[in-house]
Amino acid sequence: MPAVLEIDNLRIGWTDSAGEHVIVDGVSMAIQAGEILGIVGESGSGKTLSMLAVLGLLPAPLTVLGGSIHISGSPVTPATAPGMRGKRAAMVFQDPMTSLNPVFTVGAQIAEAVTLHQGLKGRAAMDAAVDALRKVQVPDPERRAKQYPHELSGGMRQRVMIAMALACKSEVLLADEPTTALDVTVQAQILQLLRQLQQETGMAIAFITHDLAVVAELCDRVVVMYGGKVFESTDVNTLFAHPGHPYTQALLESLPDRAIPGQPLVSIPGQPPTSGQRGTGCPFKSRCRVAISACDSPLPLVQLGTIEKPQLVACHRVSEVAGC
Amino acid sequence: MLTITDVHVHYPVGRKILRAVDGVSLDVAAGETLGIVGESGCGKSTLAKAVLGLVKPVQGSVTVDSQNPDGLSGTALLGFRRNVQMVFQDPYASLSPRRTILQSLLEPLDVHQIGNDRKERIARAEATLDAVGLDRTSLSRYPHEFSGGQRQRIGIARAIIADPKLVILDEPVSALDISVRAQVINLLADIQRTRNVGYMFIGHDLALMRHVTDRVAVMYLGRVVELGTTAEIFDNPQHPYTRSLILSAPSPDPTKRRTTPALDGDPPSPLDIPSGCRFQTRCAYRTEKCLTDDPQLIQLGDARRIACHHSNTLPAWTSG
Repeated sequence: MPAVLEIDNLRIGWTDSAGEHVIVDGVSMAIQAGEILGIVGESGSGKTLSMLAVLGLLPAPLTVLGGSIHISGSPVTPATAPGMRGKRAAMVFQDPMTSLNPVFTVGAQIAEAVTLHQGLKGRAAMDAAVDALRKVQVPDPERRAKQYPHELSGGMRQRVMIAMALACKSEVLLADEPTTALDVTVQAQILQLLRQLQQETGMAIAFITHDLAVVAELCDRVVVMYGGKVFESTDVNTLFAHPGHPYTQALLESLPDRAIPGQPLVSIPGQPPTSGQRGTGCPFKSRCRVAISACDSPLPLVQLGTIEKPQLVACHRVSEVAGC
Repeated sequence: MLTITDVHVHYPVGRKILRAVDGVSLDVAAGETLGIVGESGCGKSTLAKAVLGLVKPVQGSVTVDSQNPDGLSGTALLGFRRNVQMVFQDPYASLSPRRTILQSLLEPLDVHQIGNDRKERIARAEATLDAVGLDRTSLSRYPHEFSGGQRQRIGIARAIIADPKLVILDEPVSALDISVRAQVINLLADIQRTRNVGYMFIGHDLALMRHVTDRVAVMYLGRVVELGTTAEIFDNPQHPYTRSLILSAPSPDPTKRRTTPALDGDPPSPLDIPSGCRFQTRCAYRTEKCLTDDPQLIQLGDARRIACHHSNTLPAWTSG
């Protein structure tokens, strides 16, 4: 059975008279049905662009320069993407207020998507919208459906966005930092909801975040991105117990949870590179404590772990740092 | 050093009154970090504004070294303001894009008449940049030339350049990339150690708060519901709300997943504060008394305060 979402060697960037400018450089990942994949990275790591490419929504002048994207075996191309968006892959953004139209009721907005993708009309579409709100545990869904976005709390708005994806019966949900703007109490509710919906519907979920604690709480497998590349991909337990890439290791060590009381946090020197500053080879080399001259050459992909639980690490120094 | 006494800040909203801060008393000593945690709408940002003198409390007072800004004007008020500075959450929004870093750093010195001449002020700007770990050549550059972490260092430089006694840190690292947060947190700790400045640290990342604070105040709907040393609050929380907050925070350990959310629903609107205990609508230990009697903040230990009718009969705390 093919993966619900399969991204293979995806390259995103723009072309001008000077040639290709690559921002996302050879990203590969796959999500199986019933799986939640965490995509961890900082701003500029290429995590959001990769997901926008899945929907065919890359902002101009960015285009897919190479590689392929498949949803349940069907290729996503500029020609096919508009027909698949919403129906087969839906996205939930960080700030639901900017994704919802302030002058329509939330029920009408979900119903519109249902009409578009499921062909239901009028009363039937609105019933489907109310039903979707009930599934995302919005209390009193009939009344809420008649309310406008500003009448709902941040957590409720995010539930509305998830309801929209559910109502369209999307195969894969791309969630881009959906809980970053929420309080921790409401974040816990939304994480619980996603896990429950995923178990009920078998929907595949790509969960983009910079919060490692949220990844540990929710995800089955994790892809760590940095500077437009995938640095590491493995199952969630392996990532936290035996991180393979020096960047992943440094991130985990810098968490306040792992700090010694009274001691400074373990910090990573420098700043993440912008797309123009990456140079050749590994984009993390200037900040890496084990970098050597070989890190200027293209990254190898080293497979660690077992066949059942593979751990892919893109690093020249993997033999030095593995097992830490 | 900072003393907040029974501060109430109310905003009129139509015909209703929004009680954003509703009777808060706190203090911060020199060299100490007091953490303020709570959900959005709990009044933590309004409290910060009241401390800065940006909103006037309808009742209660804020004093810094026994000095009260009420009744002060002109240079006396300026002198008070010099003592309290702020670092904002978003380093992209808090620096003027049209000013060089030097211009942004000189402004507090000009306003407060610090330094005898421009040369002395520039020297102080350079020394402050050194203190926050930025290169002196940064002075002639503009904010857009810096990354988020560097901009936050500039925001910190601007806050400390006039030698304040208290700095309010409003989520100072939440907008930064994760790989630079630790640097900025360590920098703030260094500055506090060398300058003996007090911090009021507003944040929602509980793991971080546990690391950076000496004491923590937990706020809910305009009130402090629990106050104690950081160890007391995190190792033995006694207010049901504090417990729910701690249980809601995700842990970076996939073997310790939470199965059910600790708290349902959203906090009630501060326009419609529930009767009795304000937490009663979401509390698992609610009784008849909680519906009618508003629990006062009572002293439990040296530094411990708690506002709950049932704090002494709650089950023992377990974090699992």
